[in-house]
Amino acid sequence: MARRSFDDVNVGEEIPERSNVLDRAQLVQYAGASGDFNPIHWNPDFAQMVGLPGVIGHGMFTMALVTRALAEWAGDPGAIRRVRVQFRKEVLPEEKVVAKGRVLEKDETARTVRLELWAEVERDGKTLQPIKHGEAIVELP
Amino acid sequence: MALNRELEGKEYPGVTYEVGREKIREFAQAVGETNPIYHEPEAAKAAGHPEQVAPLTFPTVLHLRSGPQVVMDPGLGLDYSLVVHGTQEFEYRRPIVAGDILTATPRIAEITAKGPHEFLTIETTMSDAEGETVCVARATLISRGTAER
Repeated sequence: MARRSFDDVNVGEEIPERSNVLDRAQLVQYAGASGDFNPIHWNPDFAQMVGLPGVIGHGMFTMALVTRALAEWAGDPGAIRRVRVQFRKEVLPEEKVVAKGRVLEKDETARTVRLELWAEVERDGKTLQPIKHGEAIVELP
Repeated sequence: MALNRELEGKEYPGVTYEVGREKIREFAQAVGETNPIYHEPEAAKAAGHPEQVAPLTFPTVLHLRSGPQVVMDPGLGLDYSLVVHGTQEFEYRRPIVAGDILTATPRIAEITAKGPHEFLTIETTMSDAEGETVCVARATLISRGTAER
């Protein structure tokens, strides 16, 4: 990954998208790797009992896709100073999640860039945002 | 039942965690990170890092270990079956790398209410063996329908 230079960043530019089609094996693998064993992510009976259509993806798994897009754009995960996301909608198995971002502003003094981040899924002909109003501060050389 | 606001500011005991290469690999694989800096120490060193690097959301592994003592605190009065994860923030001072021995210390940063819901913010500070802060995580949990009307 080549490190992005501060001078090469333009306000308004979009970062390259990253996408993932969620499958149930990923839910189980992520539960094990992260230690988040909440049954809403792997037990359909439990998920339905608490009013969900079935098992849903981990919000933090979607956040990981968004931060992957961010780190790959920056060319170095060490450039990321801060990242914050809001979880708004669940992701269902077989849905394709697309992580997106856009440069909002540049701080010439601090050599930092502020970006907006979000994630999209298509459901019933509508575009929903499992992650909305995400924000990151990235310090670039 | 509303959350106990008197617990705002309460700090809980730190939980110490040793970051291992295989755990980083396992996590990187689970989140679909293919960049070799997350898989091979040599690739990370070639890219200027001291050791194999943990992906940006790796701190979740730590706060999932330090957080239960907060959400299960009987004095707080949180019913976890009513909880959804509202927001997540990470502030990074440096990348987490293999070999780090980190202590995650959680505190209740804020309890607020908006409409019928309450918002509990847990701030977890992760410090290395030298006592330097590596990452600060802030998770806001929404406790649905528990605000006093």
